[in-house]
Amino acid sequence: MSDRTDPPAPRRALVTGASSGIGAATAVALAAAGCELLITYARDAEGAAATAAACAERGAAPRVARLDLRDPASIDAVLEEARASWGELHVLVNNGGICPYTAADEITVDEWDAVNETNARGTFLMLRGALPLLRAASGDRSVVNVASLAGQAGGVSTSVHYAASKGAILALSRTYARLLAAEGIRVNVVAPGPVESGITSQLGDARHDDLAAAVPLRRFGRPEEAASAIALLASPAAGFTTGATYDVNGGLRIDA
Amino acid sequence: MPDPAQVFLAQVDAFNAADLEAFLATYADDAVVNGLGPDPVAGKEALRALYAERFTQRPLRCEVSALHEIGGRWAVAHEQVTGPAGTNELVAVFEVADGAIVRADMSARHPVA
Repeated sequence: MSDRTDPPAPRRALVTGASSGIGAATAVALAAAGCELLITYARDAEGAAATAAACAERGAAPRVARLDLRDPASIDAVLEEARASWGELHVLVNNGGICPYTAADEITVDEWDAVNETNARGTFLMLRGALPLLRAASGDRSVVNVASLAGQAGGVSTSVHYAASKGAILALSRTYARLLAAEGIRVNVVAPGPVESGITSQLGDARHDDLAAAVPLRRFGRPEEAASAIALLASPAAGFTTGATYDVNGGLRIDA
Repeated sequence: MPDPAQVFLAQVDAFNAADLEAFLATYADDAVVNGLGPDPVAGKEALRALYAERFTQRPLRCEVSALHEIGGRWAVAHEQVTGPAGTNELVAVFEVADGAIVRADMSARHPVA
């Protein structure tokens, strides 16, 4: 008889949109938590390399893949890479998306489609396509979809197509939470408010400052503050939580 | 013992020189390389078969635009690799042990416009 115990099997995690901002911070947080990682980027390969390096500094050098969330074939290719590498998946973080700042009257049909196909349909296809891998894993399995305060309360600085796409992510997340609960697969949402990121850097200084002044906590959030919520929901520590929305918005929306 | 960045850069130099033996010398006998095709390439002899053909093709060029070395174990690179079909951008993560690459993961190729 031995009192030795095998180390716990690593949790395998896929994080989209990990070249910067919340996705990059999430990848680093999950690496620090001991996850094996596959991270994706859309265009910023150098940013993805920096994220990979930051993850490696925490002891988990990730695999890196390019992903165009608007392209179903690209989604299939990334999921195939996860299947070939691991054959299972414990954590899926759907963070990738786009956020053009366009006045409602100026949004073209093509831009509406691009935003909703990337953000909402992309999240749906990633989640649905990952189900065989999530089902193949044992123990706690968790999907965390990154929505937005804009999808809950309407866009303040962000545009109507972005808000609509994030509202869709909230709805599909709650639906999948119901569909998958009996299988032990949890689906939750993190809904950030204004967070310093490549998206919010598109705001001019005046709009940035006005928006920060409107936040009860009087500042933008940091990517790490959204990432810590994502990492919590991704972990077995949140094993009794599904269908929830975790607000990270500085108090801009406070539920009754 | 060369560090991961030195091993990685020796590999790049050998690639650019189309020096197959020098290239393979940077890999461990049981190295596994992911991302070159649909399936992992496992072992130095499988790498030899792949790169023996690749090194006959022109153009053949790898440029490294960013390189991070982490923990004495990993080299993470942002590369532009040029071949007959054009230039692709990728992120590659190399794990090095005892002065040789034991594992490499290449991201899906992203054509450079």
